[in-house]
Amino acid sequence: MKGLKPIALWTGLIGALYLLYGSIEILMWVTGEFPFPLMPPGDALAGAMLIIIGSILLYRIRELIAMKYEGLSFLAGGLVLSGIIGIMYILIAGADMLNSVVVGELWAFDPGYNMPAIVLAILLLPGWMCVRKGADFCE
Amino acid sequence: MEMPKIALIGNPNVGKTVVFNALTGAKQHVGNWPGVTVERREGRFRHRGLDISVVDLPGIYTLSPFSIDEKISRDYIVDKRPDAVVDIVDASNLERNLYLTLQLLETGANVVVGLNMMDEAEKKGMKIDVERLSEILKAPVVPMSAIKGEGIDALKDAIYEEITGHEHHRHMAVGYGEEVERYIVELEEEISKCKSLRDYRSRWLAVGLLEGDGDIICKVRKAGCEGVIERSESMRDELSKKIGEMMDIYFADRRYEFIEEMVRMVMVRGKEKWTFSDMLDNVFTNPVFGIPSFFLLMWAAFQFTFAVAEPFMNMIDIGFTWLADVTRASISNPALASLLADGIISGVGSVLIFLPNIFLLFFALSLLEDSGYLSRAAFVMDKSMYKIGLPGKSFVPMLLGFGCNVPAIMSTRTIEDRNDRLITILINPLMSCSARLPVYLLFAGAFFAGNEGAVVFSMYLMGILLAVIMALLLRKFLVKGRPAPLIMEMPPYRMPTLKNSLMKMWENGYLFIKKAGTVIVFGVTIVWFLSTYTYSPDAAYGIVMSGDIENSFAAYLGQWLQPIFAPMGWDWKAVMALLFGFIAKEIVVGTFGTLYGVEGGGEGLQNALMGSFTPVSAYAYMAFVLIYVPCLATIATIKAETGSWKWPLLAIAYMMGLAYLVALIISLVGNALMGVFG
Ligand SMILES: Nc1nc2c(ncn2[C@@H]2O[C@H](COP(=O)(O)OP(=O)(O)O)[C@@H](O)[C@H]2O)c(=O)[nH]1
Ligand SMILES: [Mg+2]
Repeated sequence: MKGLKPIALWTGLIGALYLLYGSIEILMWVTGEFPFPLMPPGDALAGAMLIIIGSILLYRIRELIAMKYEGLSFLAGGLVLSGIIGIMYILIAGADMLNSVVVGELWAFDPGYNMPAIVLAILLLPGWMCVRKGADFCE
Repeated sequence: MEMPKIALIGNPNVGKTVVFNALTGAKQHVGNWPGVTVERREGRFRHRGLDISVVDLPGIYTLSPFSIDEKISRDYIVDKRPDAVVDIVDASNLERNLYLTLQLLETGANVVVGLNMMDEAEKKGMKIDVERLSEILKAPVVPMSAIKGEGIDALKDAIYEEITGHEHHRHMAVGYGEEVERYIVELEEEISKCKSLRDYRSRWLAVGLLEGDGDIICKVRKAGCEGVIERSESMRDELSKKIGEMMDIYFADRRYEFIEEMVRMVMVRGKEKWTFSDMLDNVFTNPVFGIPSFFLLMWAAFQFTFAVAEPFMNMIDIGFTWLADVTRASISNPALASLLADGIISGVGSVLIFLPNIFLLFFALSLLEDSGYLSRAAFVMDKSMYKIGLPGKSFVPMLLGFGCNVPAIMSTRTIEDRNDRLITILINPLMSCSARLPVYLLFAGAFFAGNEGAVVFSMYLMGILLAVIMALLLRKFLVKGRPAPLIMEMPPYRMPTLKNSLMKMWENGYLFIKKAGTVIVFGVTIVWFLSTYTYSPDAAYGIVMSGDIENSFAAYLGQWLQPIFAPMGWDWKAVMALLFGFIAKEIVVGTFGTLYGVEGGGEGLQNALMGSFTPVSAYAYMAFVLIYVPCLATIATIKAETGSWKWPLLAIAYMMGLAYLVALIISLVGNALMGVFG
């Protein structure tokens, strides 16, 4: 199946973005600065988690492009973890909204806090096509 | 003729229960094995006019009697001698399953192999030559897919033939090598001289004695054949020297070799296809990514818990504040109003406010458990814990400890090795149970706003780290020896169901509510009394409402104990809270709630605390609460499970010492750092 190769490359790109965002987040935690808009606030642990997902996505990217199960398995693992983290942030944003109703404040959606992990999780979704077509893989 | 009886046996999760139900239908009875709380299922069925009774034995990997389950199964097979033993084997996992089969055949039992999960094996592209397997094992082998009802009738036929047939004494034997075989034959001769051992197969006894199987040695001794034991012991020493290996390891290795060869002969692996489960396992049990994935999921569980709990906590807070105001306003008797509003409502409210956290934490944990992930985590963590000399199989009890140490300590019953089990029990109270969570949340919210998640997470990590250190120390100085080797099972991944997770969440949350309604009400009532009244020689009974908390009984008591904790900078109220926390750790927060409720001020507990702690002393306090003592229920459980007061007392002693040490270090280092940077 040739159609899957671009998707495999795409997931590698998203993996790299995970690494990038995670590193920036840790860097901000160290320096305590927020130089760019739409960037995550410094949270070392949250950054580390993004880095873990990015590493899993990239660890066997060569095997994935070569259509080997070993590569596909790491995409599957990365997809599951990225989905869980994405859903977690969506739930947290929902809870923040509910909380603002309870305490009677205006809901202040913090895009830097919630958005990166949610957006990355959504961008990674096409990867599921590879997993679904798993029968075409070999070795 | 007595009704023929058969036994079902097999590794865990091979579909034994499905086969049992398919055989017996509704005709079954569930009870316990005598003397132990291991479930015993019995039933019966009729085939070709013959009534046959079936008993379902516990799922086990080996017949070596290390655990209660294994002992039950083996005793049943060699002593009760069922007419046939139906060994259910997972065809997609032949290597692991056949070990038990070989051991069963060695006992001389009439084994019928039910080769289950054929559908699963086919899906993985495996082809199994069933006839060949049957020839090698010299036992009937029935291919089945029990879940689809395939092969059940064939299994019934095979059982019927085995029971009524005449070929009872075909025995397959694993060859253990010329040298060892000579010893086995010689020992068999010795055994056959001992008439009281006639009921057992002599080869099985001989191999068992040479392996040094304690249970078989006991059997032979009971039969009054001391001579055989002596002979076997000298043989074992001789052989062991010749081979240069422990005999039990030697025998196990030969069996595995035999299995490997046999599987090579009967199985063809087709083009390999990975299931989704295989793929996830490749990542989640990967030597590099296994542990990071585990931390990621735990971190996500905690983030989820704290963030999502917040709106619900605020609702409860608003509710209890309202209730206290209404109570104060509508009751005219000042003592009663104070008891209800300042004592019970603020005390219990300050604990119950954390109910959403507890609910959500259990919800998240049960999602992880039901999906099948936790057994992977156990596999990864146990392997690395085993490597550094910690007991294997202790991960699940440790993780359960995050909920409550009492069931966690009870769950150590699955650990066969006595020393391993003891260590796991003794370090379990260091796993931060949900009762301690309110304390962290209260302090983290007051002193580390914005970083609550990370600070609370660090408490859990600290508990784990200390548990590892303590386990290594205990192993070195108290309960010596290597941890017992481990075999793990991994059920397939499943989508967790909302209903099941909500149910587990409710069960555990309900316990917390119940505790709040009983133990905590009781605790905070005493705290309220001590902090509201004082001694006065003129008053009736010598007690009177003090009007000033600094002149109350609680203040006297707390101030008397406070110097011990002066290096950490905690005031007498903090010390009182620790004192009451002995009963149950939730009371620590309840005590603060009541003490500050009595004092008045009404600016909220967290603001009140900010007057008496610094971030450093607060963090030290959190650590102290984590460690300082197991609660009463845990102490009672340790006593019950170890059968002696020695161990709970040891746990209390080491935890108090450790708590003081850790809190002191945090204070000294923290204050020094604050001096440099602050
Ligand atoms: N694919 C497949 N799954 C099966 C088969 N038999 C049982 N199972 C599944 O295997 C799991 C364990 O079955 P169970 O009877 O509880 O195993 P036990 O621990 O040996 O009693 C269950 O989820 C069953 O649905 C089978 O023939 N094929
Ligand atoms: Mg079962």
